[in-house]
Amino acid sequence: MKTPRMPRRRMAAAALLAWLGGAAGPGAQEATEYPEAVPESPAFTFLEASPARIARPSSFRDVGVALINGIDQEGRASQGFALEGTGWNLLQPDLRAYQSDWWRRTLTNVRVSVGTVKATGDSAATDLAVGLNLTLWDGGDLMADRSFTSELGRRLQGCAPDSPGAGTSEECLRAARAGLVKEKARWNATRVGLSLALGSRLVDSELSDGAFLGGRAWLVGAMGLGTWGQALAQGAYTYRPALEGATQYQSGSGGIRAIAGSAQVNGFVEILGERRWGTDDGADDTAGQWSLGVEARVAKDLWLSTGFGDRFAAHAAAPDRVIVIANVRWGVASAARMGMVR
Amino acid sequence: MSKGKARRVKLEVSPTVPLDIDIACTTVHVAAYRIWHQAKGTDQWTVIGEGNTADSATDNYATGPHPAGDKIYYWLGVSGPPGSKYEVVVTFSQGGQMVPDGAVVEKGRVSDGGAAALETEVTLR
Repeated sequence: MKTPRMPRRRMAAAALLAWLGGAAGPGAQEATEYPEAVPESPAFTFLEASPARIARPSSFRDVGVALINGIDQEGRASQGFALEGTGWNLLQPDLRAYQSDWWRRTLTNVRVSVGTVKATGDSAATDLAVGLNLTLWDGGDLMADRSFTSELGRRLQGCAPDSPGAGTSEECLRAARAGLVKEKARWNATRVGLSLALGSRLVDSELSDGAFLGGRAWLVGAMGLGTWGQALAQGAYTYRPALEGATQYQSGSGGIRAIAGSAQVNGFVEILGERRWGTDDGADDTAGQWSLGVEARVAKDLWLSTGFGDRFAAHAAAPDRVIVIANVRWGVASAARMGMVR
Repeated sequence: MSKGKARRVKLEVSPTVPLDIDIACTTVHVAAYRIWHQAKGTDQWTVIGEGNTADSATDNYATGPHPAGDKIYYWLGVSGPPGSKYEVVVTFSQGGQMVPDGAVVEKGRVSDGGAAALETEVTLR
């Protein structure tokens, strides 16, 4: 993807951005690519799609039905198909297996995404992507914490009625859980996440006639700093082969970020860099940026961010070559699972 | 939940063999429980077991033997990820063998607050 060259500039403080989901801090409005730190649905991120309707099957049978619905009567892939599933409803381990077996816990929390979009430049072709999101480690997963579940069980027992039929409102149970979650939940827990996406261009939307569209991988690690902060490191790799209407390239990006504050409001400083190579014209580009600011969560998946940053570019290519700025949002935890334990 | 809304189940049991009751949560949830017994013809309920599935204590209780007409009543309080599906299996057995239809499966979905409560009355016959 080509973007106009960004002049070196310094952004003033009080640049206020509305950030939705995975966009970046200062400078986001000028960049054209906003890769998620670890996208929850890497297939959609790879396709650069935001599906309005996503099938979310809760059983293997529903998965089959959803996949069949993604194929038209002539056996071609439907454009605009989106499916997302987690292992949570499909694998269903018991609590002891979930807590003691890393493989079962990881597979239970895996998210698979499948999507199709119309191919750029060829309305008859369909781009198909399959994505995988893995939480390799989540120190904030309360159901994996034996001390949390043990104490939860004890508090739930306190809600038992004195006699049959005396009745227990769910409010007692909810309050017991909510109170314990408030005590134990840590917004800056140690986490490691990995996302992968692979794509294929289906000629005439035929499932049997596809060309490799490339792939993408993201890896993020986060480490808590006391109760007040978090340090994160992120890396991403992209491979895009030469295809009609698309530029061939490989790119790697990385960065580090430090956050201080709380789950709702925090100050941050980050340094990001990206290098692109293997382009059709042989040009290599390196770009980087730093930014410093404050962000506040105003609603679920809606953050307001302000601050300033300085972009710098070091490239050996001619001035009219591509520069890609990696603006990354450091959302490590799965929003859905975080919502489950609140 | 009032007693009138409790699920009702009937089980065939032997009146001369003690009854074993086992509670197991087969999903990633925590279930707290309390179990009562009522002799036929009386109004009094006696607690025969209570606990939760997340501690190290066993969730198996022996009671009886009980004649036909006696009742077992249990309350379950389940908690886990908000909106998730849960399953708790209450198994009734005698002499190491499950009684006919003795696996009472309690299924549902916890609320957005991550909790669910249910009660079941089991009549022995």
